[in-house]
Amino acid sequence: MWKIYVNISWVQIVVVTCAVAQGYVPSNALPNQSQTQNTQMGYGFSAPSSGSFESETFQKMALNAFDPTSDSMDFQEGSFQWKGRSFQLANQRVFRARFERFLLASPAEDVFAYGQVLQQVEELLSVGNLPDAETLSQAWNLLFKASEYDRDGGNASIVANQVFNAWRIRQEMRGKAITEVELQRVRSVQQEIVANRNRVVERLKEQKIRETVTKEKNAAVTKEIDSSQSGQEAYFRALDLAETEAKIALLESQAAATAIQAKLQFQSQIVSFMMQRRFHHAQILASFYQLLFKGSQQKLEVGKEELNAFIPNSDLSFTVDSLLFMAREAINDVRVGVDAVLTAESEGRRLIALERVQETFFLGEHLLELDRIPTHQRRQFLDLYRSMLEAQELANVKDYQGLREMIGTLEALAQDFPAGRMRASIDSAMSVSDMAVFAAAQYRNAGDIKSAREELANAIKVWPTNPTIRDFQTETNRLATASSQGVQIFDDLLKRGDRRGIYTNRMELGFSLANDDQRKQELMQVVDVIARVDLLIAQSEEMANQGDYFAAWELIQLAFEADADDAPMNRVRAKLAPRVAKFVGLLDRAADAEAENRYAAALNNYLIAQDIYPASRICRIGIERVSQSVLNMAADQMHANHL
Amino acid sequence: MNINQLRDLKPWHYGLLGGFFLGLILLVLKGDAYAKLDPFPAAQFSQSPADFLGNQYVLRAQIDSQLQWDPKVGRILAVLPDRSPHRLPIFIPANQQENVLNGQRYEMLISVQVGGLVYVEDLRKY
Repeated sequence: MWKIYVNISWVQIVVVTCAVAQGYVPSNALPNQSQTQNTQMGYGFSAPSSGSFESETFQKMALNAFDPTSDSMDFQEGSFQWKGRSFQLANQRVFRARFERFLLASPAEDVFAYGQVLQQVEELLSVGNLPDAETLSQAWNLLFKASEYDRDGGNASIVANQVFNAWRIRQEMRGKAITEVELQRVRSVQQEIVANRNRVVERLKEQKIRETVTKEKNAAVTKEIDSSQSGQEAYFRALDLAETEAKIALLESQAAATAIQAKLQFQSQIVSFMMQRRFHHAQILASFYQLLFKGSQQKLEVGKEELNAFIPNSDLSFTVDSLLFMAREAINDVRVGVDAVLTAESEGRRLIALERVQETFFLGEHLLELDRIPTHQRRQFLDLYRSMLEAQELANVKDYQGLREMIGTLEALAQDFPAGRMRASIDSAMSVSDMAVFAAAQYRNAGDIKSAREELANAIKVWPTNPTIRDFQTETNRLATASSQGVQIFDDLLKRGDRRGIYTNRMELGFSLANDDQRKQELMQVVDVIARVDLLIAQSEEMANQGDYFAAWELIQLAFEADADDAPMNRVRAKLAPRVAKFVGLLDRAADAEAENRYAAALNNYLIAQDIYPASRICRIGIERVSQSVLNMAADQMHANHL
Repeated sequence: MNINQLRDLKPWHYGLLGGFFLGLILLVLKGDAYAKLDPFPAAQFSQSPADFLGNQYVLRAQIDSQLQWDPKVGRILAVLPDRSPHRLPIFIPANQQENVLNGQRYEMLISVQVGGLVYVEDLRKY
């Protein structure tokens, strides 16, 4: 298809001719203009080369403006920052699903009662109340009550189980301690027995040495037998003692292992609650830990890697107290965040409220404070959130028309949405694309296919769904199709004298006659004439509208001289004629007299007509022309008289 | 003056007196030419100039503008005849040495020539 257009650069002249006829360009300047037209088009019609810059700028602006997420959320890193602490955010889709689920949910009816139970537990465990065993038991029992609420999710039971486990281990340790005491007593008896046996053996040896000096070898043999019997008994006593020692050591090691196990289980669960952002449960479990374990056991032994990820760039030694502090801080922060959301919403700053509610939701997803946000506000947040995500998608695909509609929706949903700035940016991008399409059309008409392609590509890049691009393609296809039948159509119209028909189809005919120099010249002449007629008709109608009918007639008379058969012109002429009948009659008589060489009579009529309309151009020119003829005629008469 | 005094006149005196009377007679005769001609019917002339070919009239008009001038031929003027709303073209041949200025009023002795040309044969201010 583009090959067809390579040979149509002459159409450029047609375009320029139209411009001349429209009065934009002086007709005597046409040759020079047509020579330089290509150069001028390069500057006059080309869209700004900053089209891609415009598009990229808009894209960046749109990404910021239509991004509903808070700045504290980094979905690329998958983290959420809160006061220097980093939570794992999972991916955006997961977070979005959870957030939208929250916005779709309504506050539970029993949330207040559940909150009161948790508050009671926290108060019972508060150090300020000097909790004793009875208090701990009350708090522990309340945990089972709390776990009955759906909102708790059974986490209070986990806390209760941990506490119970600690108590059970403590009980076991008490039993082992009793056993150990008994064994220690046995060991003491055994140690005395072993010691007595050793002393007996030693005395027998000393006695043997003394008797060896005085007695015979036979007697010695008898004593060796006695001595060996005493040594065997001591040996068995020593084995009993060793066995008892081993039992005691085993009990001690078992007790130590059980204590460590209980502590580690407790600490692991606290860290787990913190990571899950279940700050109420973390706070309760940490409080139990403080009361159940000695002060020397408060340093955290587990979850160091998780805590290092949770608080990066920190070389602090973590304790249960520090986790308790963080849990309380988070609960307070969520409370303040919900206050900020409700305040922003009440002041009509819904866009800000949406950002804050996301932060607050992520931090306090499992806290009861979020239930202070009423259902209808959640729905409005959801509408705004979904609309912004949709607008972001539209911006990504550069659907500016859809985006304009969506901005109207966003503006209605959130008064603080920067709609004006976004509209201006969209208008700018759309204008750049439109200008590029216009420039492509001009280049196409001028036969500069390469530049037309570049401009079209630029237009598509800035605004792919620009409807004028489709118009451009349709027009191009139409021109290509019409070019195959153009010669016959042109000849028929010219034969009928239908210049108006030729002018109406000038673009299609221009493509058709690209290689026919003779017809091309005729087409140019017709286009020039009808364009001039159109201009004169327009000017005449304007004069008539202003009430200057004589001027209107003179203009339409010029159009009549250009093409007496043009129907639109004749309609205007017929409409004007009654209003200037006397003036026209005089001009007609003048023209008739001049045609019959009665110049004096013609001059007389022109003068009378000029008296009616002194500014008449026709009269001025007629008087100048005819008065010279009159003078010539007088000279001839004088010459004849002399002869 | 008596008869004797007339007898004393020299011949050149008689020639001088004859010339005086002759001029007086010519002047009277000319004044009669303006007086005996009809006023120019400008309105009718505009409708059908051919009907007035060969006629002579007296035209009283105010000079409006000069349309053409040839020193050897003359000048074409547009004049506004008395009691006429429209101007009329006239031709003053070069032999008429009158200085014609716009706005001046003239009484003209005219004849309608071939083609409807209004030919000024004589003119005078009034």
